[in-house]
Amino acid sequence: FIRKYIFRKTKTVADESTEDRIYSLDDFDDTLAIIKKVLWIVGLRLTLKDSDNARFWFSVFYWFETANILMAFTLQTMETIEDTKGASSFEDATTLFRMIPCIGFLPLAILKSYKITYYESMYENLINELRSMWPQGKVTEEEHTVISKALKQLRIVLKGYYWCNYALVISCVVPCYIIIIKNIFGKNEPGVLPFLWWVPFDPLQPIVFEIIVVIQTWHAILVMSFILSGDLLYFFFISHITTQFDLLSIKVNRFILVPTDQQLIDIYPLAIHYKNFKNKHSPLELVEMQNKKLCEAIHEKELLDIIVRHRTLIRLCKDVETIFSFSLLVSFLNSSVIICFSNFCCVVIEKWYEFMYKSFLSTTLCQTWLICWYGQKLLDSGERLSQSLYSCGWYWTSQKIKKNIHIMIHRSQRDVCVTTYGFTKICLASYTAIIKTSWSYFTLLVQTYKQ
Amino acid sequence: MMTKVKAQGLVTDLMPNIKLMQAAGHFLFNYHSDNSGMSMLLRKVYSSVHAVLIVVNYVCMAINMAQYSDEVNELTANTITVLFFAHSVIKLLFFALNSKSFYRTLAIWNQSNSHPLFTESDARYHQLALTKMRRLLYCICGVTVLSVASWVTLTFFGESVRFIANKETNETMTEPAPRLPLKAWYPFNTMSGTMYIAAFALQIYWLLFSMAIANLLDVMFCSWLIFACEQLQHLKAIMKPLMELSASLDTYRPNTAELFRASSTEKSEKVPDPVDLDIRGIYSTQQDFGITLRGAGGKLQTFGQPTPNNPNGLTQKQEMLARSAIKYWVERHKHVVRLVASIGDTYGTALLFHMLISTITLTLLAYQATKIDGVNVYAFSTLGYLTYTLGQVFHFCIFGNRLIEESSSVMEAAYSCQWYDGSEEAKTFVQIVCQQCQKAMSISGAKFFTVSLDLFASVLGAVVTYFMVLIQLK
Repeated sequence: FIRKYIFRKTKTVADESTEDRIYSLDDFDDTLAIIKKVLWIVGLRLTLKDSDNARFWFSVFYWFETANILMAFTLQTMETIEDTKGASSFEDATTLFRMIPCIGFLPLAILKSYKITYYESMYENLINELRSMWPQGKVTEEEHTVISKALKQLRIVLKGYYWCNYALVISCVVPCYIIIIKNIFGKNEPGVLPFLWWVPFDPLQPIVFEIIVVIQTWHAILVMSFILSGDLLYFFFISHITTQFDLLSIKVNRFILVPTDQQLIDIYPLAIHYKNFKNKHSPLELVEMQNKKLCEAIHEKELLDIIVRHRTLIRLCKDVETIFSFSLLVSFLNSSVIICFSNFCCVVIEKWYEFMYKSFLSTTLCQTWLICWYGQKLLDSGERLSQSLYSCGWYWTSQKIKKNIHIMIHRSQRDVCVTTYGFTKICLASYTAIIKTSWSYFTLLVQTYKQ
Repeated sequence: MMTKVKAQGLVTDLMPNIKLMQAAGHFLFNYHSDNSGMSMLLRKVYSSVHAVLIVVNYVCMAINMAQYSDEVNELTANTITVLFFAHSVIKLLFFALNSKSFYRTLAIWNQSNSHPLFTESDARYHQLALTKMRRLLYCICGVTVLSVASWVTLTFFGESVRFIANKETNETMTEPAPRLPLKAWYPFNTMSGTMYIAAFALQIYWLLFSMAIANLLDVMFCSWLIFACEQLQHLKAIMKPLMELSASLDTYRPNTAELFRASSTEKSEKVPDPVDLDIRGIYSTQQDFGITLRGAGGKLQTFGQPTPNNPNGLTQKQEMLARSAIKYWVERHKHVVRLVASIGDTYGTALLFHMLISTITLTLLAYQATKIDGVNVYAFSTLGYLTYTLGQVFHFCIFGNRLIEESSSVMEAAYSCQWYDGSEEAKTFVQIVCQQCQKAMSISGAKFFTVSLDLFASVLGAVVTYFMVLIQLK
């Protein structure tokens, strides 16, 4: 390992880049690996060929898990309603605030996983189409920069999100297990359940308590996996669609050759493309490129490929929108409620050295930010395509190609994005809107509390 | 990279600003004529000393704020001052960390393309940009010096006290404090004597330099925007001659000789410098003839030998100039778009921080403004803070707005020239340019907001609303 590291440092830049610039479908499948792990827990079988028998049992498993979550949801809601009825003062209602975030997550989890079952064919189609578009073999320097950066980001986000969610679940549940272990060693501490359920019997009896804790742990892991499956697939699709848009922009920038002169000086990007072309091809080919008819035929064919790919990407974005928009709307509503209540609890109830609500607040903020950031990336990549259509050498081609490019510019200027069921576009500007709304609700709550 | 860079392009235009920034203590080490190791070390030491002094005094002010945080009025006043000068510290740090990005933006316009027919217009608008940039610099320098002078003058009026909350009776008392421009904690006693004079002098220096640091960086940003706007004006101005040129290639127009007047005098030396003379000569004329020959039904034709075939009897060189005008226009426009993108990338985050801090400051100032009860020191200082903060926000909002307006008015300029007389090539050119310029170029604060007068209006509106609500609640 050390030798490989040292050896890599002394390699020249050219060697390193040539080796790394070869891509294959394995890179694509790698990004899907962690998602498949989560889907296995959930019991959904995307892109896997099972026998009918296996399919049947897996769907039974999935519906069993969903039924569990529904049961948890009902029991928690009933307990919350009971508590609210019995709450005499505002302080008692604070237990209500503890439960509201948890209750919010349950229907969200069911919704996200239900979408996967309902739109299964659309998911599989998306994955297969993106897989077929993946570049294989050697790519150019620019493309390599784009692809490697996107892959690195995606890996970090997928892994980080996965482990952070697990850490959150564990931090919720571990205190109860600590109490159980303490009780085994003789200390007699009253048990604390991770989540409050309404049950017709006393949940703190010795054996019953342990069983309920284990069941609740399993439910927590289930809920987390359901939510993970939805979110990770969203990140996966958006990341790959964005990469394809960027690769398309690079292709657009390159496909027309314009010679350098006083109007197109050496340092301009188009002139650099011309220089690279000159370096790679013989002077004979350069003279050939001046034959106007040949040029136009080449340009037409390449432009047709570009237009077809552009249309495919727009269609894939629409598919992503169909699948995810409603669950993202519910997710955003949930997040703003959670931010508001956790903020309130942080400021009013918790001491400055305690971390439970603070971690809840920060995780929700990060999760919403991540979703908005990916939406923004998609918007930006569409805009970059429109910029690169203008910055290609369109003025140096025939009228026919110019008109085609004009229509393409017109379409690419319209935003390609995911919306929350038609209400708002998902971008960083909407993130500030969510924060502002939560902040105003929070100040309202604080004012009511002070009275 | 501290290599010697020949001053050209934007750097030459902004040299006074750069020199002032170097004098104020920014970590700007490029663009010196003398790059020996010794002077470089001296400059680094100079900047570091300034940075240390500024940060240390800022921390003293923050300590003072923490010390007297019991009484609400005192706390609010101190918070406003601390936030006010947070801009300087942040901008100093921002430039130090991001200087590569600034150098890159300054180097974008080192070389630009040219066309024989349009050099005069280019020079004219460049000169206009230069005048405006200088004027802006002098104006902001004047405002900075005036603010420092009025601050120091105001120190000598009114009582020099601070408010303390009496813990037993819960009412506010006053306690004498040193008569200094800024309330700060010093390890020595500054009530009177030589220490007082030393502290006063330090604070005057500190006020001047910290305001200069913040303002000069904003001036550099606005100067970039002025430059980009004047380039867009140049492009709009040459749209009309470009259309006439293009029309002259196909239809008979009188006085075509005048269009080429600039070229006829400089024809000998201003011939477009070809990369590869033979190939280029054949390439452009063949292709260009192929595209726009009328009567061919749009089909392409190549000629064995270039034949001048236009009704105005233009020579071949003049034809080439006419056709390359479009290439010049489009490439120059793309260059401006790259410049604006680079400006946005460089300065966007600084704008985001500025707006965040200004929002909080203005909220607190609105609260302070409700307590004004007469024409006294308190009123003047609150109004002073208010106007200065709003002025800073207005400063970059107005130039950001001008950029948006200029870039979207290119479409109007394209429409208002005589495009209907132009060739098919020119019409497609106008079509694509209009389509592209519909979406205005703007600077965004790290994608969260767009810098325009709308932003300023919303900030002002929020402050006024908050102020009105607080007045009602009293």
